[in-house]
Amino acid sequence: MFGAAARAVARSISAWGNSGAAAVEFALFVPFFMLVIAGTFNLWYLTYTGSKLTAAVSAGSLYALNNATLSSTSPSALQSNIETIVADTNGPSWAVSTVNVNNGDGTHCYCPTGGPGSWNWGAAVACGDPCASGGVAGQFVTIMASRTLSPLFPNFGLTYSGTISRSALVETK
Amino acid sequence: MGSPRLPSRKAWRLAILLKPAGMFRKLLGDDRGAISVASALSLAAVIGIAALSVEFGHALLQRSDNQRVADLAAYGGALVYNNSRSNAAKGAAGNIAALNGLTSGNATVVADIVASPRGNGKLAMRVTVTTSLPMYLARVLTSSTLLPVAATAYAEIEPNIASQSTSTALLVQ
Repeated sequence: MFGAAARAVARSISAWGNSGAAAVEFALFVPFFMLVIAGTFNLWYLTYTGSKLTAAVSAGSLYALNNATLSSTSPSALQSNIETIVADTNGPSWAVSTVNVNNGDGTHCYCPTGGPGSWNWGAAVACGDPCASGGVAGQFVTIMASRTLSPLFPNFGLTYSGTISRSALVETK
Repeated sequence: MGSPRLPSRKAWRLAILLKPAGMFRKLLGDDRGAISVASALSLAAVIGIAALSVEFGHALLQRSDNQRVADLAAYGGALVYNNSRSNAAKGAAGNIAALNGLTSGNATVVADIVASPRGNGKLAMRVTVTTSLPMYLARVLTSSTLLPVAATAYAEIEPNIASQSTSTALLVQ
């Protein structure tokens, strides 16, 4: 009985020939193709957002360099201006920025240590003194910027989803 | 009836000479495996183009990051040189690069006091930052496994800076 049914199915498939083969192949290929497209878009979006964030931090850094004297004369104005530049470079409130002008101290110099986003100011020292970690004591501005990244195709989970950040440390004196 | 006559030596030679030509004609008339051959030939080109877009694109982003750090290091080094007039400025430039995440472990930072590229007789702090990115896909195009990414910045040193209260260095390029 089963043999007859199997022969009937085989005859039926044989009668179809090649018709529909392209549709079956297309259906098999589409999920893979969509995965590649979504992954490419997500990767591009991650890179694009990171690039824009870098540009915002660079704009804030250049402002700090060009207005270095404000770190002594008006640190709060320098902080506010840089925060605005970094946050708004790519559109109103595009990024969240945190700026620290010389540890809130317009008078003394410091020997900061650490790395991007996790600097340690240490104790205030005389300007121009050599630092234990290398370099010379000076006045510095730290700039940190972040933006929440929402992937275009979040369900695929192919690329990082969350907050990306960039930071810079600028010597102003 | 005698035994069949064997081909002469000359006929054998002719047959051997013509055999490759016959095989080539046969190959030209055979379209089996055409897609496999085309795929194999185009695979190198596809991987090469992917390498250009992904790995060299990443290198461009890295270069903009390196440029940002080189700018900050050159400016900071120029500030220190203005105050100290010593080679400590070179160490200070390297220290600022390290504080911005480019240490001797992941980058090469070379700082030097040179003539200003503006040709005005002033000195400038030149900082060159080089990082190496691993290459994976691009190995189909080159035998190198690392892609060096370099950025250079000059910060002109203003003379008699101690008496000035405004800008203390000038980022040239």
